[in-house]
Amino acid sequence: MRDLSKAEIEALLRHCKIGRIGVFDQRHQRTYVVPVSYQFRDGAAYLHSAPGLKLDLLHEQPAGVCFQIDDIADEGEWRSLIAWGRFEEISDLDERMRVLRLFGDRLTRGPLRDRNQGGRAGMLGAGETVYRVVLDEMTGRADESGWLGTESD
Amino acid sequence: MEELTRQDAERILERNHLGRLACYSPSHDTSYLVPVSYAYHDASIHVAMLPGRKLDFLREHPQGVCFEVDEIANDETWLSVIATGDFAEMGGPERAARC
Repeated sequence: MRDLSKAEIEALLRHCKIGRIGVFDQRHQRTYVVPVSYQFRDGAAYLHSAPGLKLDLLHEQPAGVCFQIDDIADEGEWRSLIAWGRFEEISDLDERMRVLRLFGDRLTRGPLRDRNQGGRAGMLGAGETVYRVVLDEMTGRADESGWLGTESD
Repeated sequence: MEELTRQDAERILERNHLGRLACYSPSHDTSYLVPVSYAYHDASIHVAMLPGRKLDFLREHPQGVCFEVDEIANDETWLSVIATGDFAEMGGPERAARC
């Protein structure tokens, strides 16, 4: 197992499309993890979400959000990144559109399309909160020892 | 989007072996989220781990640990299970049998 270089970390952030966000729910004293589609630009993960527990918790505790991605072939062949950052909502309309366009297909397929067809014509992604998690601290690790390598540990 | 039944969720936990575990450290005021290999038996997730930040955090705050498993084909076809539970270390014969 070894640490990833800064360049390898950036490459992994660009390679993956799905990550996991982890937030702590102070009221219930428990953590909450959900898979999310994201786009990486300029040191931040850009995301959009419909109202729900994840957004409530992010608003409540915008600092110290955990963001995790990985590319795992098997137990002996993987790359993984853990980052911590802060939640920032994007409310400027032009910036919202720029971010939503990063998601390409999602505007005409999948969850955004469904919500667009819900009577909110004229504004893509209306009802969605668009936001970024600015990644302040990152640590990446990789293992290339192969499956047998871990078996013999 | 629809909600899975408890039975569906258990089936998904049974047929997967990679999940994400999240824990929290009050002293660092930080969440920690990592991929883990696991085995699911008797309504529990069984994980083997070496000493490190994950184990430190779990020992410091064993309650309210989150475990997430998903099967994502694309934006339209996906399943995801989110579970919450408490951490407990295992010893004795149980330890060898489960991991």
